[in-house]
Amino acid sequence: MPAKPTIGAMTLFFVFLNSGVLHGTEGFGFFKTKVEPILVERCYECHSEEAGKQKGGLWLDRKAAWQQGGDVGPAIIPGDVDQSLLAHSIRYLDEDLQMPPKGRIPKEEIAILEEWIAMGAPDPRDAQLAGAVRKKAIDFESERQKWAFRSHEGTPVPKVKNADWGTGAIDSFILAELENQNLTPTKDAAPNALLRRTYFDLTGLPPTPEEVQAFAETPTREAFEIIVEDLLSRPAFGEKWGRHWLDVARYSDSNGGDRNFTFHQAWRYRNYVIDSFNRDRSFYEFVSQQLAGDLMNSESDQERAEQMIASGFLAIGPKMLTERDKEKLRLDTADEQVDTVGRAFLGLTMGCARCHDHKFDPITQVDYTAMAGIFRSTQIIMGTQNGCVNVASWVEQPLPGPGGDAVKEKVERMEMAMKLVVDKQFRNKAGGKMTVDKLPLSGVIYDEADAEKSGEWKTSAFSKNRVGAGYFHDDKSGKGEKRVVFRASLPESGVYEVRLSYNGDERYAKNVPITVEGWRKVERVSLDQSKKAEVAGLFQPIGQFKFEKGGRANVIIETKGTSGYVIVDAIQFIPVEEIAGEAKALSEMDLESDEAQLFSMSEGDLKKELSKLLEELRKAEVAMTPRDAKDAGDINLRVRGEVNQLGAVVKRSFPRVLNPDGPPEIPKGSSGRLELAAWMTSPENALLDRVMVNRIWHHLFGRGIVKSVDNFGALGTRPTHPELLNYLASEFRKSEGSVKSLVKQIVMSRAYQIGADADETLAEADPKNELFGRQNRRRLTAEEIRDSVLTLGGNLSEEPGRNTSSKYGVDLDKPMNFAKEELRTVYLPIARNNGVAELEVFDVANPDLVSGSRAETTVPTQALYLLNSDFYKSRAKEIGNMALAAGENPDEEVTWLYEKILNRAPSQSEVQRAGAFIAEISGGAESETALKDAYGHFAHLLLVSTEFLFLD
Amino acid sequence: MSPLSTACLNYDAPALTRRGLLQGAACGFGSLAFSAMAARAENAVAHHAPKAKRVIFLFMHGGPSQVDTFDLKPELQKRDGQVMPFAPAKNLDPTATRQAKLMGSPWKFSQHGQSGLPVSELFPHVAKHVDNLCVIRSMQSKGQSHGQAVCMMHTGTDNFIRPSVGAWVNYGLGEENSNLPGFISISPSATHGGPRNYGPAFLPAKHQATTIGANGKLDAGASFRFLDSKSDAAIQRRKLDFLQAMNREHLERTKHAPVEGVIQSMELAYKMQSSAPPVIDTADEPEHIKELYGIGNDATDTYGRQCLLARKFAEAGVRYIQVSTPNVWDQHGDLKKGHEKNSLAVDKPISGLLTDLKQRGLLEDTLVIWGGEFGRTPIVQGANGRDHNPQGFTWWCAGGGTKGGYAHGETDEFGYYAVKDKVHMHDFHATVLHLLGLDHEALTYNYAGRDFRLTDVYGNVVKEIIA
Repeated sequence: MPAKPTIGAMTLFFVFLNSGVLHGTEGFGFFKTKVEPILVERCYECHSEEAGKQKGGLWLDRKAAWQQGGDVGPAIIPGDVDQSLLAHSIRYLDEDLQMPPKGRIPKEEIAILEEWIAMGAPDPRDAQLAGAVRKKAIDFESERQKWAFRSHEGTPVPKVKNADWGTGAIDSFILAELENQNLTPTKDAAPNALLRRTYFDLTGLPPTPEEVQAFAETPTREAFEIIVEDLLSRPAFGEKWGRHWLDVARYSDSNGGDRNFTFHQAWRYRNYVIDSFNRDRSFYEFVSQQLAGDLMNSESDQERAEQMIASGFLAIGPKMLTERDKEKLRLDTADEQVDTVGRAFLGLTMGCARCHDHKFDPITQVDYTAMAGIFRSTQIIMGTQNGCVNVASWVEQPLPGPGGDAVKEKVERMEMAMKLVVDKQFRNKAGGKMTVDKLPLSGVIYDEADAEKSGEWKTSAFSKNRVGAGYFHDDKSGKGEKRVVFRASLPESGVYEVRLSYNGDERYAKNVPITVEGWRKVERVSLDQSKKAEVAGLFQPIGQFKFEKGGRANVIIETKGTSGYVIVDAIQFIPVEEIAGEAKALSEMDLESDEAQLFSMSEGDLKKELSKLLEELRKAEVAMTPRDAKDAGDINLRVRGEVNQLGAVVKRSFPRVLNPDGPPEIPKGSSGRLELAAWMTSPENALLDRVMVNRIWHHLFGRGIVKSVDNFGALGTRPTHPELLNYLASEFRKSEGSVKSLVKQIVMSRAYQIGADADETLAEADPKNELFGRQNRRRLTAEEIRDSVLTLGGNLSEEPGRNTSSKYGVDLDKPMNFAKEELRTVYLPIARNNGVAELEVFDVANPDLVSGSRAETTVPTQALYLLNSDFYKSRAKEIGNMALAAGENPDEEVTWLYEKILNRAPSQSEVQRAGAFIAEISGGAESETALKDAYGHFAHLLLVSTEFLFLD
Repeated sequence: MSPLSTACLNYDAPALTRRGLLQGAACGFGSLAFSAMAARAENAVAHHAPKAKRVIFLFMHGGPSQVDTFDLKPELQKRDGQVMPFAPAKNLDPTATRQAKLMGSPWKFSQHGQSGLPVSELFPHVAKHVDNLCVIRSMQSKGQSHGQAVCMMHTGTDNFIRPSVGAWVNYGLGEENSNLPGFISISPSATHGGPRNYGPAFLPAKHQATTIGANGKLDAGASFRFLDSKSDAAIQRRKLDFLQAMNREHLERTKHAPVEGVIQSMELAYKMQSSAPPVIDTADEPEHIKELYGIGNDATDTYGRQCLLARKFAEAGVRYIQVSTPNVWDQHGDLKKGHEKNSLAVDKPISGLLTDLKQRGLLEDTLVIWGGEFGRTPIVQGANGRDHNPQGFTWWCAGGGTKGGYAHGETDEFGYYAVKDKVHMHDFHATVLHLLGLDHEALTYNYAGRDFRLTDVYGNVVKEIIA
């Protein structure tokens, strides 16, 4: 190892040619004595073969390695210090790229490395790049043969020995596996247990004692089928099964993230989901509408409205609305959608491939980017929600129907108000001034007062066609000595058109030299000020340039070589995507119009107008419907997922492991969501079917055939019954995606109807019930608990809820109280980061995540809630009083409560014990109050007993 | 065994057989509970000998300024009003970016203790403890806005949904006192992510914080949710006995382990009901202790009561305790007025807490952490404010095996960027886990097919700050 360099005064004053390229021994000598020791000391720890580390994919221990570079491209551009990432990173200019990461190296060392690069980076280290540097390619063809990714395949129903046991194909698949292990399924469930299970599984509500009794008297297959048909036709079916999907769709009525704004329109999506399950909408239509409903053709206003509402699926996710970097916000939002779509429809953790290729599944960062491009091309985020430029809002669109046009106008006005208020704040923040406020100009404008002058400039106000109070001119003297510099600072990174304002006049200079200094580039142009300016007769575009947020954005106006007057009035930076909108606004300038009114408003008035419009639209017929973005297109891969680390452009497409056909044709200006929906639901994509039938199975058996319902990848669990899964998937496809048919088929199977107890043989041979030789017990869900308690007391409303979140205000940060609510729980608002205690404690889905399977935890807070909450105490008392009214004596009353709450009759000893408890608590008193209290306490006990809380 | 019994898709509870059940029943029902009740048994394994047993995190919501508190910058004072000679961070308010004028601190610093570490006059009481403080001057984090930075600090990510530090600690170590929650957040904010900052994300729900008070406020009589200490105790006990008898019959019929879990939790809840209130109630503390925390004095009463409660929780064996100020430290303007008011409210209470922990011998194994989601810029914003600065800021620790009277890392000459021995938030998280005996790379949880950890793929333990 070379000796550590001593950096002395000599080095500091060492004068080198800083241009021109040095070759040969002189350069090599400098490298050996000065440069290499620094690299060894400061960089090799993470960037050398010797250390075994190649952080960021970069080695610095050989020339070939820095030439190829790491994940972000070549580390050094010989001769060009400013363009070299190595120099950039050691200068600590960029918070995302600082090397060495632990701390800045001494200035002297930075100077040496800069000198070396300027010299042309002479480097004698000629070791070759190792082959191991290359990544291993995925063999998609063989991946496509794996169980999850195969297309639909015919699956013969297996033969079974005990042909009498089963009732259809499902039973044959289950029994065949059990017989393989020499096991027999457990005996059928008792009629009341089966009925209770079926009612809760299909509708989330308990049967009445009368319904239990009727079935117990004639527990036949025919009678059961009639009951199942009836349950499937009840609105409660959609309320129960819609809730399952809402878990997957990470449904919420508020944004969460950092600002918890209320999604006043999200309920429409919730009710659409419930309605879809009740109408048995084809699953493929259901999926397509959620991905691209806003882009689909429709035959009626109603269909159009449904489609628009359905696509709200993409908009209801959590978003970091205060993210200051708007590109990051868009990519983060797209990321949330890629992840959700991947898990919900495909059982794939695509989000894992944002920063690197998926470690376990055949999904590369290119696949990720191809999908992310589709969603980045979809506009969800826009404007501002509260009038502050740093707090973004989301797109809402008017629904068709009577009055739709008026709403449409209002939405447009609101969007314009948002844009203007954002523009004004950008201007203010950027330090620019704008005195021609009545012109609908976009972007950032600086007036001459913002400029730095050198030389003598004259101030004038002669021409009325100007920005602000006046302008400068050079008085046609001191040519070459005078210059003006505008130092701008732009609020967003991107391409801007730069414009100068002046009142064109033939006395003005024809060849004004202008220099534009962007983030990494300097460009020179010449401007003819004798001609009239193109935009509003005031602003003349001089070209389009790339600037970085907060980075260098200087425009220098000089006088050298000119003969006429050089005029400096104002300068405008307009984002290129806003040019067309501005042109339209300018052409429609009409001081009488509403729009012009908006243009002339002050920032404060605009904010007031915006909140008024937002308030009005909360109650209007609008939906959280996305739309294709104006700049729809392919995007760059992001190295390590960092927004500013651009890799190659990736064509928008679908995961290659499922799509052998290559990228789809996406019409210009479209996001590609229509193509995505068509591909997703095409019969070739059997994974969609497998994932959905597995979800349905999971809800009816307590465990999926693939236990990890949201992950069909390598780290998910393998299916216990792969042939059954294939069979169900094919059947589902044949039924055109009828959820009700599949639910009925499963519920009518004997496998569903058997008991939850196992004899010793079965329990020992299959302790985890992998073979489904018995049913799985489950606890009631949070919704089932609340809805049951309400329905038992006769208080549950049968009405569907609508915008239940709205009464809690513009954000859902304050506690919500459901104690007095009588709607079904599915209709009550769900706030991110502000769950309601009684629901959260029983493991409702976290609306930040796709949750195909809820946890079933046991914590003391549940017990505290069950025992102490006012909701439970007061409802229990009502039910206890109902028993008192229904029975003639304590025996009857206790029996009534058992049948009502537990769906069974009590034993003699249970009746006696209950009677003793009631007598003791009421003090044997005749007092009605004491008796009512005692019955309340007893009903309370039954309602919190494990027998009530668990389904057999 | 119910396949629904756990949030983790790849975790299978130990198999339960009839024979096992009967054996369990013979030794009482307790042995059955483990699968449904607590993941404690399989997690509560320290990876190495811990230096700290618990954490008290004093969260200064809004982001206090490092150059006005614990990071003295003579050069900044000297060049007050001049333009900073290098570029400020991107993503800032563009005004600040253009002007980038340095603003000296309006407060004087002086050296304290044997170590002679400088502390500004904003923290005269805390300054007395300086020889116990381990001041990290080179903190760095992610997120220029509060939402992202607060989330980053609590969960190790600025934009994904991940478990909070306290949830990880609770998951890793289990409770020390099973009658109290292992993770308590005192007066947490509802904004900037709210419960996400003390939530379990995909960890089992039991690991989320139990809260008391909200938004920096702690009302008199504040308690845990659903604790009922008003009802007739005799009736409560009678009801519970009846209920447990029914539940045990149900368990015998079904042999269903989660039923056993419920039975256990009912008993635990009942115990909590009697053991929690004395801990929560600070009224009986002697006057001189209350005085120590500044309780009874308008300016310091709120944070004082919060800090006293933190000590009581620490004493009772709670693993991770967070004490939050309201979101008050965000001085984009009026730095002087704001920071003076805020430091007045917390200085004495924090000093009281340190004294009290010390005199009870608790500071040794209690890691006290002080800091905000980021620091503030040495350049001015508006007329007299400072903007957010995650590029370089100061946190300090006390006790729990950290070096006292020690300063680690440096920012540049103005206090803007961390430049020497940088401690990224990931590194800090790794170090906290390390002090608690946990290896941040080994403390993982499998969710949706992959192992997650607090520090994701990052984090280096900062060995230099460990005593």
